[in-house]
Amino acid sequence: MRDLIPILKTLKKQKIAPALLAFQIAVTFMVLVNAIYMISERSDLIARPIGVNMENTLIVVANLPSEQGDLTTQLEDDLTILKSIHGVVNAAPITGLPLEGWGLYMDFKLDPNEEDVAYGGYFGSNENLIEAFDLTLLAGENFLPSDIQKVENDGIFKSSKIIITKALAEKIYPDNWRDILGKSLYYHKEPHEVIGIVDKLQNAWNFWSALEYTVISAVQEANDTQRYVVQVESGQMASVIKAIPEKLLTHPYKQIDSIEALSEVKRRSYQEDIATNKLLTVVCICLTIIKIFGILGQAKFNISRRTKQIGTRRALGASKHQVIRYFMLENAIISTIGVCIGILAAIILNNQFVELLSLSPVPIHFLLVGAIAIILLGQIAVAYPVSQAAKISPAITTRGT
Amino acid sequence: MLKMKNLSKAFLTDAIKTQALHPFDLSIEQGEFVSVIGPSGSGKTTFLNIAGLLEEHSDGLYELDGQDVAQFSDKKKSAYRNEKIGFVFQSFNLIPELNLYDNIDMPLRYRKFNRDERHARIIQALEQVGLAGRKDHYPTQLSGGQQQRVAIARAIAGTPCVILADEPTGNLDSKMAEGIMSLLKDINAAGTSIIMVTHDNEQAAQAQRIVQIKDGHLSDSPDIQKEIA
Amino acid sequence: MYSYYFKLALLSLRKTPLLSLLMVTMIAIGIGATMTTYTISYMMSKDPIPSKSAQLFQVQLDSMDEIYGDGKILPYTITYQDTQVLLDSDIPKYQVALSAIQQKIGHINNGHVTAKSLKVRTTTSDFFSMFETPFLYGSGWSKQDGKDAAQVAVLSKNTNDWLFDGENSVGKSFKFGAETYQVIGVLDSWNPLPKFYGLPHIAYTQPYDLFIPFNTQIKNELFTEKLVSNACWQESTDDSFSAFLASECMWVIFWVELPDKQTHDQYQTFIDNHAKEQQSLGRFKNRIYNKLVPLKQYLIDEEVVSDDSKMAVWLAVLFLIVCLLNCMSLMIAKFHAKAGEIGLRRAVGASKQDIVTQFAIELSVVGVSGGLLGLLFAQAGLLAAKQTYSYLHSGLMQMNLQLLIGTVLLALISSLVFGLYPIIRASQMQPSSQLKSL
Repeated sequence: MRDLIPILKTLKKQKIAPALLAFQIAVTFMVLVNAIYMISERSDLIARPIGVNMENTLIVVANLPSEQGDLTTQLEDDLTILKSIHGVVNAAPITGLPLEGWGLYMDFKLDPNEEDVAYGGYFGSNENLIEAFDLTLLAGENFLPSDIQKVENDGIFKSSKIIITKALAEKIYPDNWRDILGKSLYYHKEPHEVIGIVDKLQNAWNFWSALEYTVISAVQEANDTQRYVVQVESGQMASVIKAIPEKLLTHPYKQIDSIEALSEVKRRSYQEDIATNKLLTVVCICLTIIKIFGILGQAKFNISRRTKQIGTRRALGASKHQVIRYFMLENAIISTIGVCIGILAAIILNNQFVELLSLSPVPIHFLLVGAIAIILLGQIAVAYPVSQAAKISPAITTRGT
Repeated sequence: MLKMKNLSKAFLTDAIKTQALHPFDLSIEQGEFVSVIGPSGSGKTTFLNIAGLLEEHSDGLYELDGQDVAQFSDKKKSAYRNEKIGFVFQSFNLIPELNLYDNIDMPLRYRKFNRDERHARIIQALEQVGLAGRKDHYPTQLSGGQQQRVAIARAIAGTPCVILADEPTGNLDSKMAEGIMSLLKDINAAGTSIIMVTHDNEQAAQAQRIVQIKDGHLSDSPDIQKEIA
Repeated sequence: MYSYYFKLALLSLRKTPLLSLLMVTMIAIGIGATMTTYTISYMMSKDPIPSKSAQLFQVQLDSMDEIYGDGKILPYTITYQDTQVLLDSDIPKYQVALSAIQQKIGHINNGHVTAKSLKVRTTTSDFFSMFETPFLYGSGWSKQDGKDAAQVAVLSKNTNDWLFDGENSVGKSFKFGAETYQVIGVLDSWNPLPKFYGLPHIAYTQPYDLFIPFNTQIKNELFTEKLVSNACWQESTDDSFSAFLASECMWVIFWVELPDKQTHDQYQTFIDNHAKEQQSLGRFKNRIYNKLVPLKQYLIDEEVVSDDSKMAVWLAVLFLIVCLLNCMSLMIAKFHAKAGEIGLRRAVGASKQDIVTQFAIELSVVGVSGGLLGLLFAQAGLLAAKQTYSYLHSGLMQMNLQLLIGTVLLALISSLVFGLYPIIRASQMQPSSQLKSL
């Protein structure tokens, strides 16, 4: 630390070159910290569990052509076929899919004449859904086959028994979420008795605050485009995917729109976030490379400019080690100044920045880790030119440059 | 204090061996003022670099202040340069970004002095060269002669046993040169040995002893003293 | 004189090849990143139909119940019953009702059928005139065909390539579900960006594969819930399609072209009167609040340009600044190394201005080279973006001439701006300062 004061004095005299480097580090720091934070935020969002067994859940979308008669009969036929396929644990119809980006939602009341207590997404299905999704029933019970109403559309307007997610129960009864069992939730003016609570089930929109507030109602809808959820035994995914078209395409009007793993639905739902994360990662990598090259280049020029000075220092008794320490410390000081400006700017500009780009503010511990990383990066970048500088012979002081 | 025995220096370039200094003996006692003369390219600078531990010799023995320096590591050599030797260069080699005070402070910082001791040494050195009032100036604000005085102050601040001066007046006019010479003589009178490389015979004659280098041969005979005088 | 400076610049750049390369690459990477992201954002927010974007309006009606309050934002769809009334008006120059269905489309050849499930835009006959679609063969259907719910279709170029190998297929037939439809026109490549007329979340995807009359959809009772935004706040009376049509469900997108202020005001009065009339019949219970949303406002309201793309531009601009700061430091280092040369030039009579000109030209060479290389990087970046954003329209990832020129200019100007300080500093150097060493 003996070099600290002289370095500061030198920097003060030079002013502009170190200021530029510091400013550059400040901007790099701001971009890197923000970008990495955004990446981690998005990754966290994407990593949220749907509440469903992701490996073994298959989604089949097929038509129920009106030419073939009653839709509900066709639906039941399809289900029988799906369940009969080797490797299928269970299958259920559903009115929408988690993270599909399309779906039904509604406001819930505890009393039809009072204010809403919550809002959330809606899935209509039957008693097999819990097994078809491999959901965890925390309290209460599953639907009985006799609870299920079978309709062709507008199932949301029917009064029925419902199973809800724990998140929704907690939203309505924050103190004891089990209290909701046996109570009725009103939507579209009809009462719906809560008979069961599942641990988790995300609904249609990944960006929605009510993503985990989900209602499963005991109303089985038959639509001309029908979605099925199929739970497959471990390791049987490929063979089931292969078997479905063979078994399900029973007549010329039957079409299958898609057979895909639920993970594929999820990937599509987050494709924009995944793409943005890729972009941000590239930005970070490029910026890191630029920064390393920048510091390297500047250090190299600085050192070649100060060759004679370094020689003089060596002649006057500085060891190689001391020369290295001097320049490493110099870089560390500039980096630290840059990072401090960056943190200050981040704090001052945060509000504007956050509003402009609709970001959430970066937490302090992130800034600190980022700061240390940037300083270390600077040390790594400067190491090579500095080790070259240490090789400058003290003899150049007498021989001239 | 300084003892060279059978010392020689050869460069190997492109497999051709060039003998920069042929084997010679030289010994200098504490408090002596020795000038080294010779035309350009004769090997003066090589001699100075070896004496100042800036270059290694090829063969022979070099003892400085009682120690054989040939075995020294780079680190030990650096420390030895710092403590035992003071350098004065032809082109001053002051650091432009630092003021006079900090320039003199620079070598002291490589030693285990505390702040007060460094301060005392810097002020004393500046007083000795007559620039005490200008410690906050920067090198570019000074004349050449003044810059060289700062360089001398930097050399003596560490109380070395020997000052190696490489053409200390080479970049100065005669009046300034005179001032520098008398300063060096004063320092010598206070007990510090000085080895001064020069090509100016008149200046060389002001030393107690003259050593001549010609085509890599160093001669230290009394004849030269007379010849120059 | 300038050619002399130009020669000097090239000499100087050649003398320090590594430094020059580093500077050019820095500028190029910064420019490349900025222009890649800017291109995508620019293409996203570009006026999709500049000739008449000020004359196109989306019709939004508050036909809801009183519980839905007085919010400023209305659904961008209207009910079928209102659609029918609006379509009878003769005030707008053109008016278009839009929906979409998914249908199995197939060849008719030798009894052998291959079919694909395609997305079908259902619309009214004005669609093609209002949105100025280019036709390769034939034309859109007539108003009469539209009214009669004729089984005719306009194919996209891709669909025509698939069904009829790109031949003139006007008059030919194909399978539409279980029915047979006739081709009446084939579009040339048509990629309006953003694809403003449909739902906002598909604004950057390809247009649908074929177009059929809106009434044909109604007559055949075709409906694909997934492709429409269906705001249903009241239950239909029964499960039939006719009950659905008569319900309060809002699912039709409606655009009008109103060429001037007068027709605009006239049309606003017309829809308000319609609302009042309906109110007297027991509908529109909430309020009389009907909006004609200008196309550009609609794109802003629905946030068609994503925040992500805006953010990417900001990041890239900061990125460019880092690169330019880097360059600036290198320039200072470079000019510092040239102190001797500058001192000499000044000593032999060059004015400060001469020095400035000399280095500005050297810097311009660097800037333009950086710009050209940056253009190359940007093309590579856009190619990579096409891979990453494969779900978006590839037209977003293409530079037009303005952007190409803009890229080089940006490189030149930004490098000069950031070079200004080092150059002025260099020109200010005292010739005499070179006489003292170090």
